[in-house]
Amino acid sequence: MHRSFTARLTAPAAVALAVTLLIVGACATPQVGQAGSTDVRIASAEPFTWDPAQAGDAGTASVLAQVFEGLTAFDSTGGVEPALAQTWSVSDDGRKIVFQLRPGLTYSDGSPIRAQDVVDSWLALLDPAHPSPLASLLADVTNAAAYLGGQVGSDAVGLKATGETTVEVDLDRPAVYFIAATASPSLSVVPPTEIGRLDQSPPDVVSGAYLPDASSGGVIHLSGNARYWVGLPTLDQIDLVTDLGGQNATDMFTNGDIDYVDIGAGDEAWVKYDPDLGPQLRSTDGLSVNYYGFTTQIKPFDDPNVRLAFAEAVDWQHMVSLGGGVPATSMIPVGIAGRDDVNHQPQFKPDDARALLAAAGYPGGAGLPPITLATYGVGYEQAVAAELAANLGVHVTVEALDFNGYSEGIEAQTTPQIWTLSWIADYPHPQDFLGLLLQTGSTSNTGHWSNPDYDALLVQAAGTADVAVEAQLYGQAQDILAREAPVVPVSYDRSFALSRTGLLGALESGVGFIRYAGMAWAPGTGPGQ
Amino acid sequence: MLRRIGRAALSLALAGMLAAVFLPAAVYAASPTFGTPTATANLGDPVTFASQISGDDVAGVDVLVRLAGNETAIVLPAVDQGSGTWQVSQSIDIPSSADCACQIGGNSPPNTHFEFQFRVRAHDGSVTLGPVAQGVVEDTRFTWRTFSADQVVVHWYAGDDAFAHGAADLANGAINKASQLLGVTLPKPVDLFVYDTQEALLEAVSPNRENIAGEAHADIQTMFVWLPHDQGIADFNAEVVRHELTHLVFDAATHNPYHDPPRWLNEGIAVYLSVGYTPYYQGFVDDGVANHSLIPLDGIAGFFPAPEDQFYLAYGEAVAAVDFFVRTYGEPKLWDLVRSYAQGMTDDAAFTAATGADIEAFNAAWFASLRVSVPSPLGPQPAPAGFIPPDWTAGGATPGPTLAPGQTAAVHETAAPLPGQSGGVDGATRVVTLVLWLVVIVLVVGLVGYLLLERTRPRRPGGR
Repeated sequence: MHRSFTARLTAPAAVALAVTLLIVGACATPQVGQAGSTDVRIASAEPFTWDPAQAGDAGTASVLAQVFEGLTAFDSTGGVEPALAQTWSVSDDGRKIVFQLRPGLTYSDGSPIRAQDVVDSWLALLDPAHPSPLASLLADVTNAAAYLGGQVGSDAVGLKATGETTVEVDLDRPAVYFIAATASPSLSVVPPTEIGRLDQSPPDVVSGAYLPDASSGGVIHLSGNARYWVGLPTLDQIDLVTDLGGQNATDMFTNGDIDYVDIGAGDEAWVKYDPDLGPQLRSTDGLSVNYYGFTTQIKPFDDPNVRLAFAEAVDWQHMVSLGGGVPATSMIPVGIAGRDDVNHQPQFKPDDARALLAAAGYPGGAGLPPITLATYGVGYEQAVAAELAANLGVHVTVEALDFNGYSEGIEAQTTPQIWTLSWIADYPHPQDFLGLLLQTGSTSNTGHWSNPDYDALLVQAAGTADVAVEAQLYGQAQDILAREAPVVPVSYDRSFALSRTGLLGALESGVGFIRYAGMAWAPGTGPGQ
Repeated sequence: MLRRIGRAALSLALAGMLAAVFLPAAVYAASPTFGTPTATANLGDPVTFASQISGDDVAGVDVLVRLAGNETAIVLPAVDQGSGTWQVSQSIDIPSSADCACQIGGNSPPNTHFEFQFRVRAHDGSVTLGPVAQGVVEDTRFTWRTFSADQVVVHWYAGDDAFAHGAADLANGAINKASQLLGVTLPKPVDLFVYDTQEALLEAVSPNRENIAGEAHADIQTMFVWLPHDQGIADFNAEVVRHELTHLVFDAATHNPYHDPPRWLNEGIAVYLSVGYTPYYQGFVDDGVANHSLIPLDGIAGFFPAPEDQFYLAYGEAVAAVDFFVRTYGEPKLWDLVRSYAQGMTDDAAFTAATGADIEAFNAAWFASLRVSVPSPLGPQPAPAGFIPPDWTAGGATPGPTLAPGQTAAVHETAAPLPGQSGGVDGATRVVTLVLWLVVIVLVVGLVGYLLLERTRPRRPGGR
């Protein structure tokens, strides 16, 4: 009998071949986009600056995180992983941390990434002439505050390069969160050729996964950096669409004009039932808190009783629930280790509030100077004003400012103010909320509140890695906040996005951005499929 | 770090506190002098505010802008133009910004009456307020005529007086009907701007949109509509006028500083009162029932869906649900429900007060009446994982790692690729892939060679 050629392919060897092909197919590297094409289009914020040392908002950080790399980096869960640093160690007294860079690191132009570059990048945040809005990320570094204040030179700061690949950090106190802080895009490593020339111009040389072009027509193009420490990103040609041109986000997604875009809760309501869009809907509980604060250095809000009266005159929980938000109970968002489950928000006690205000010398609001409530759109302003009028007899005037320059704008005023801010974690730790926002002298302490007992509790908490002890100490600190009311935590954020089917790794961590270098298209999906 | 806020992320809290006006010119510390402030507000152009300001201690100048009679001010930083002239020119949507204080941008529609005031900040932070001035965004493309009647002021430029009277009658009829049912009167007469062409209307209010026949702006108590003067008012877009003006009355009836009622309730009542639950709208719902594509009411509580078919389905569902409510509980209960929102009630509290059950129960009852089950949401879904570097811990289950004193973090070194190495996956995967491809090539070459050998080998005649 004559065997056919086809029959031979059904032999065991051919089966093995087929299995092998299947295995290879499964393990194959996902398609790498070719230069000149676009692998993925993502709706993005337009960065206010390209200088990590001058960035202070999450939208800018979400872009810079793709361009400049830090010693550590956030993974998709907000966890902190080694990036340019390969190892680190902490001294027995907790006051010295030594980072060891990976060997052979280079920038996108092939020049070496040196330990001194790390030091120079971080010192840029403390530049007395141009301090970073987030300079307090380095507040625990020895002499950082003194350098920032112009009292000492940069040589005195506890940041040293000892050799080409070793960075030593001396701290005034143990700070268990410092390693996590180095994942913040503000502390990423900037090439020496770029320090000082970045502002509105994108860098020519990068330490991160992507090299950006200047924004053109509402689009920033990112090209993969073949010298990135992990290697060329799988999706190496990315368009960041910073201007949707007035088009509806879901329309653009449906039409295939964009592969990832944030949407609001108003659209999420129907999208979740849409047969096509529903499965492509993603949600993230942000590591962020929306809060109200007071200018505490001038009358009448220099008096804790006045602040507490205002705080207790508003039914914050009810107000947020009515607006469909997630009410806050703490300045520390849910999901951060070291947070307790106690409700630290001032309670709604309108009778007590009126009594407190009267005791402070302003019965029924009489005698209070004109008070403004500044906002850039966090929400609830009208409701807060209405409740203060109804429950406290106080009239406040709402002023809306543009986001850009908002912080500087409200700090420049010396009129009594209530203001509102939305803060997202630079790194997922209580210190980023309780320390940066409220510790004495912090550059992000907008209300300039100060309390030595509070500061002492934070110092104590900074020295322990025991989460239960941390939670206890930070809980005690928040008890002080509840009594003195320099701020009132109001709500937490849940964000929504549409992400194209097959787009892998488009996971927005709680710190507000996606790691584009980890994205890929599943086989059979993506452009051209 | 600070989180930017986008309009879409906000819960819309319509407010507009009408009691107070600007602070009078007041001196806190420094004493600069102000010239007469001016504002140029042409439709579609940035609004330009300017003032002469002199003084020895001027650290910065802002302009405060707000809707006439409104509380919330937008603060715009002004720039020194030289010679003591401070100016700011900005595209600005004053009604939107003043209402939800969420976005300073866009273009204000015609008939936006606003107040503005320059404010000087001295170097010590003290401020001085200048005089209050007024402005209005005007549509100067046409020569407008006005006709006032009852609760409406008609602004029109094409057609005769009878045309304007007809428009006023139509509008007053809609307002009176809705006001009577909802038990509320409008705070002031509605300005009804009548455009003769759709193009003219769109240029005025919605340059980026199509197929708009009219829209109402509650914050400036104004409606813009396309009504051709040479077509019968009763036939052309009369439904649009009734629908949009019902929205204005609904807004007045539900006004509160906390939240809006569900969108479906607002739209459903506007359709119900303007045309009713007609076969046109029933058709969408019938199709939705047949196709199992009905959207639960919580899905149309916010924005209506963007896809056109779902958009119209949402309108059909909205009026169908209102019709169901009326058939089940009666119209008086519906008006009670609407008015309860003005008291700052939650949706559940409002529905429970009106019907004895919460809004989810109402939705379930309505779906049951249609003999369909309530669908479950299809999202959000978890995002599929992507690539992680080889020495990372596959998703870092514990956010916010900390390192206790005396500890050292060691990182796996074996799989780390060398800098400059291309490819978006880790080194180990690359090695495995390469080996497998080599195996494939060897197998294929071997098989092909073997087969060719077989085919060319001499065979014995007759088989075995």
